[in-house]
Amino acid sequence: MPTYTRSVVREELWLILRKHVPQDASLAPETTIAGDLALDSLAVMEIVADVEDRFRIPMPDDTLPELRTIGDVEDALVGYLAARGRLDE
Amino acid sequence: MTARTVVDAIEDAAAKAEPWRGYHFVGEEGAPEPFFSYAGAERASARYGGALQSLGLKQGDRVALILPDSDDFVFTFLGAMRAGLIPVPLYPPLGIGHLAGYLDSTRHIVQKSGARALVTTAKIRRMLGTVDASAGALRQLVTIDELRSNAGELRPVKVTPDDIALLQFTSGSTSRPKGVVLTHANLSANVYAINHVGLRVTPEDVGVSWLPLYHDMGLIGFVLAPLFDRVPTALLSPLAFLKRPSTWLRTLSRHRGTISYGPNFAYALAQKRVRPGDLVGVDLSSWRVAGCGAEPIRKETLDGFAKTFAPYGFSARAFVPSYGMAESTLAVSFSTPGEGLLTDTVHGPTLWQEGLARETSPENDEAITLVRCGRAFPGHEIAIFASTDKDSSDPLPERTVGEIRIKGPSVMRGYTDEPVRTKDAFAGGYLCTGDLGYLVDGDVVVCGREKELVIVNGRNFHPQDLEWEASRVPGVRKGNVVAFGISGEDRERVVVVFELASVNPEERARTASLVRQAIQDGASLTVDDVLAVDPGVLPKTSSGKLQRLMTRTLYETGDLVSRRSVREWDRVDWAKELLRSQLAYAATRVGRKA
Repeated sequence: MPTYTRSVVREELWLILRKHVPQDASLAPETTIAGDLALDSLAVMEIVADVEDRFRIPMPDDTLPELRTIGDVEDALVGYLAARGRLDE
Repeated sequence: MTARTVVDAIEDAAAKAEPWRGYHFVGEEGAPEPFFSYAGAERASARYGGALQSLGLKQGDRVALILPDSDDFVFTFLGAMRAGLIPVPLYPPLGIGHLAGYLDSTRHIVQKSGARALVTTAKIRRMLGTVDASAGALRQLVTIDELRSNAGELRPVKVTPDDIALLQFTSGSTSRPKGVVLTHANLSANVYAINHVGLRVTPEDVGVSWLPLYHDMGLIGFVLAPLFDRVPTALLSPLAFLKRPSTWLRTLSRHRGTISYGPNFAYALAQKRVRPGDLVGVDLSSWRVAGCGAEPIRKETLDGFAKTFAPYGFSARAFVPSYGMAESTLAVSFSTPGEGLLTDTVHGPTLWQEGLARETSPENDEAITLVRCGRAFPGHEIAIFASTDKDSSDPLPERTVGEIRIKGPSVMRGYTDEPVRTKDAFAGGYLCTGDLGYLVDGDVVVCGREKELVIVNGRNFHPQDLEWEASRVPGVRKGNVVAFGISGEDRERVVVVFELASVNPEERARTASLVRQAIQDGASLTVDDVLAVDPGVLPKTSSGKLQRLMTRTLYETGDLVSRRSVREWDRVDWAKELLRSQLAYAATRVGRKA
């Protein structure tokens, strides 16, 4: 299984998000997914699937509701990867 | 002979001792799929029912359920019924970023439901936190783990057909949740009609569903209906489908499913998101009932689905357009299985302006094609009335558009603790559906909504609720908000127009963004367009009432001024779709004439 650094996680996550939001949307760690990006639940689940495929890691359904911002998603991903020994410091 | 109560149904199913018939609980792909025969389901539900009784809950008490996992939900739900309790299924928090609004709305619904206990997961209980403080009747917050370890003996309770079986909440919004009261007699009558008149189930049938179990289509259609006739059924989670729509089709193929339903958007999503590589080895030839309901059915969507998946054995003859609503337990009418999509092509302007469905050729530029949803079940009635006909005294002739009203043993008693709204829901003994339609050879054709409901991905929203959320935002001129739906490319698009409290260009964008967030939080709905206008721009009647339909028309023609949107869409395509679609436009015109 591939390993990642935090900055690569962020880069990859933003690449995925870019596919789902308008060109001019600005992305920052504090950007909210439902509010600022106006992504509806279908788009959000598509992104979750893309993230799972990209990082080859499951994002448990019951952890999703507490994620609000792009930074929250990044933190969660970093946590999952670290727990599996797939995070490079 | 159909069981008269759900309690009888589960005991009958268990007594048949057919170990291959029951519920399959499908998890993540590749994970084991727990299976419970109906005898196993009987035992499991007895344990959960006994545990609920041991909490001190008494017959007739209401118990709210927020359980994302299908097996926990099904057994607690059935157990509650067997214990003589009234389950109130509520939706769990879903997806990303909706939590604040979700908690708010859940607190409201729990309070409104009069639930004495709430059963949920440890995680959701932690999120809910203060829910008990604000809910009047609520005495206990119980986790599913506590319930499981608490398994007591079920003390049998006498449940009769006239007892209330469940409360089904239909509005997910904060301000006005509405609980449909259904008796065991309602369930038994509707399930009989679904299984024996609508679907014509056989011993070979297999159900497959990803539909949420806290809504009528998933709950009545794929938990209760299978139980009454012992149809083996595979249940997968709605999130699994939304994440990877191909899961639906792969599960169907693996279980040799014959009956599966989805709203129009599900058929659209499958076309959009499933890639050929996802369907290696998939065979859909067993699928004989591909039901479609819960939101307007579009011929283009279903034709596209049939074309995309024909190489995998899917037959367009499997489509069963259906009409229904929670107030009628679930189903009102089904088209005939095996016939596929039956449509009615009518002249648009005559439909909109005169309220008459005049047949025309599909080549006609002004033709619109609507879908026929079959006729009333035996013992039930579907009739069309002018919305002004308060006693339902004058049914309109065939091909004349009016409000669809229904009657029969499937129709609810009313909304819980809502005498006024219950009274308003009925006219001369008929339930007023709020849908506009007409009859052709007894088949019902739905062509719009009188109540101006907005339906997004199978969820219903009342414009009043969205307007109420927006009105609370500082900077919005109080009470001067209009929300409506318009036909979009693959689903309805939601527009909110509000008047600014002051003319300040800098406030415009900021207030619009706050309105979007307020509706996101309050109703868990992503608004497609928020438009801020200056004070006094919204059209009003002479008595000062906002004109929602007029606002929509002005918006559609572009006369409501320069707009801003996070998402642009092609205006030409959109206008074309509007003309072709059976959605709200017809309702606009007919509604204005009325």
